[in-house]
Amino acid sequence: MQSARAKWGDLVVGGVLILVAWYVIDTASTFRGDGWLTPTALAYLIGAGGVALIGQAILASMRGRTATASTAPSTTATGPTGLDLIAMLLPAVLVLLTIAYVALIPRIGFYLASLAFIPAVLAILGMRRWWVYAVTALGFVAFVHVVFERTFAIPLPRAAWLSGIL
Amino acid sequence: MSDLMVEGLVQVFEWRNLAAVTIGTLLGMMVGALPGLTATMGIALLVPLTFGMPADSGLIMLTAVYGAAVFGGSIPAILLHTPGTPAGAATAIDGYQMTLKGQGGRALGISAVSSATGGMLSALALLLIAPPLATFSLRFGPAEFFWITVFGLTIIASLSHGNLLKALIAGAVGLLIGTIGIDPFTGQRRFTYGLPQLFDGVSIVPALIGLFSFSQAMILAEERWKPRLQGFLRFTWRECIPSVRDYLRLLPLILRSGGLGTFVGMLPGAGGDIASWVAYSEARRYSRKRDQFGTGIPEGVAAPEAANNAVTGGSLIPLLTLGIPGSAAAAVLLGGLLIQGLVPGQRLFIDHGAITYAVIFSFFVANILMLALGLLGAGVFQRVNQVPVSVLIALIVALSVIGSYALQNSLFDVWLLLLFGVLGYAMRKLGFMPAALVLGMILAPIFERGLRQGLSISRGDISYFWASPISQFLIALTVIALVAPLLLERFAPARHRKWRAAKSDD
Repeated sequence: MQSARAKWGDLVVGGVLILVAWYVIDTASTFRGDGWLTPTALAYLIGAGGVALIGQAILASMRGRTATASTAPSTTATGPTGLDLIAMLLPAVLVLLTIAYVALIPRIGFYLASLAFIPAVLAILGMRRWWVYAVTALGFVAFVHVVFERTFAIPLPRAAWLSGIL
Repeated sequence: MSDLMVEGLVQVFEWRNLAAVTIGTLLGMMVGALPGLTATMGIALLVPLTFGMPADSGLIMLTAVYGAAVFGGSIPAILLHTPGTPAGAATAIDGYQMTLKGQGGRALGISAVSSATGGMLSALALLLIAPPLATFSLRFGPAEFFWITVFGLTIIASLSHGNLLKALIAGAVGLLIGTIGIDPFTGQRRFTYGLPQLFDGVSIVPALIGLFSFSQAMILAEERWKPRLQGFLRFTWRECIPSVRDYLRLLPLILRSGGLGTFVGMLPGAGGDIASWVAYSEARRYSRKRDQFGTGIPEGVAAPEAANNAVTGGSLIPLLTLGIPGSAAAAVLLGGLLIQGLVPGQRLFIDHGAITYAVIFSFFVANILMLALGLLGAGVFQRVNQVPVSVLIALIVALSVIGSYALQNSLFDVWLLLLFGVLGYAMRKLGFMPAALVLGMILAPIFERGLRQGLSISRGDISYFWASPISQFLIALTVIALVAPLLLERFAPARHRKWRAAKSDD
């Protein structure tokens, strides 16, 4: 049986898919030649998928209500939901840290940005051994330098003001 | 055996060529095992190193890198659910589940023997049946390519895990993403929003790393609050050596998947990623254990690994005989050939026959070496076990960032990685299959080219698409692919039906 959150998720995704399909059909109508053909055909399919997803969620919801009415509620509103929300905070923080990391790379270079990013991730994930910070960050930087820059000659981003130092 | 073949065979066992194949195999496994570094990228980066080498040694090293990188991609796919190469993505499904069940060593062993067997099978095909098969692939026109992709898309149904609607939506969105970029027919920019980085389309590597690796790091971060995942990576190198019984049981599947991979490898544009998904799907479709696929069974590792390594030899067939690369990596190898002054075509087997046969025979040696290193390297692989989850997450994200950047030296690709990472995480949370999206993205260019070229050639007459015998054969194959599982289900042995019924009650 679908959970209430999954049904809401499907309703929202279905709506988003319909909007995407509408946007693609509208945009593709301006394409020259038969360039519109594939995107438009796919957009109709995606839109139909969105409608079906919403229909499926509504049907599941109606069936769920009938089932709930006939049986005693077995779960509480808190519990797994609350725990899930706390758990989902860490991936969100990880994404924010990665955005900061990528934004820092052109400013301070790949190596310094990595030396800041890796300890930051370890810290938010609960690592408390300081030597692990040093070994992981320095080890990663050394490894990338040897493999990417030395062996495969891939130039990594460096800050212009640090180019004479690193 | 012709004199040229004998000469080539002798050449392989010269010390410099044995050194080249050993270095190539080691480098390839290393490149493949690092998420973000693909076989194509590894070969491209090593081509300059072969400038100063004799032609045979240089080409032997590059081909060894190719095969070993594809196998190397299965190592992080199995242990970390992070495919090292796109071709390893299908292996991650059951390989990682086996690792979670404490069978990581067994999965690595099965991957090594399947890869080596698939690789050697394709080398045999390359050696014996290259010219006639390559000639056959020349007959493929737009309609045939269109049907090949439609056949490929039937795989989505087998990736649905009970929700076909969501799998189809993900596949359609993948196809739509594949249309981004400059329209190859009209030259018009489609959905590029003025970003030059999108003119050539959405780069597949950051998308793959994002959907599979970055989203995996996010899932691991989420699970950090749960009891530790570790303990499942404990295995000894002995566990990595599959039993003879295991191997013999899997051999028919390995040979079938290897044959499929060799065939897919010969088709221009279809690489190891497509082959591994097709093999996985076909293995699942015709297996009695169909419902166990995705839960961590050896068949789910053996089929994609045999297929993706078989692609390596298969893709060399049209490359060496016709100059048509069967995969992106083979296209880069073509550059390596030309640098050495070897022009592919029928004359290659006459004018440079010894070198050509040496390269072909070196494929056998590279696969044997890969098998030995893959099995004995278990002691190194299992050290992942000692790494805390937080360190793994930090390294996966940092490697994903550098891997996405390094392909084109583009920070834009890193932003793409992030976008697809978050999308992959959301998809997993909402019950959509990132693999179906990837499949759509990979097949989109061939699908659209086949459709539009076909319509253009036939001036809108759609009967063109089923006019040729090859098209009819491919249509029949697609229908069989869709209908056969339903029929098999209906006529399944009573014991199997009973087992399924028991499972559905759980």
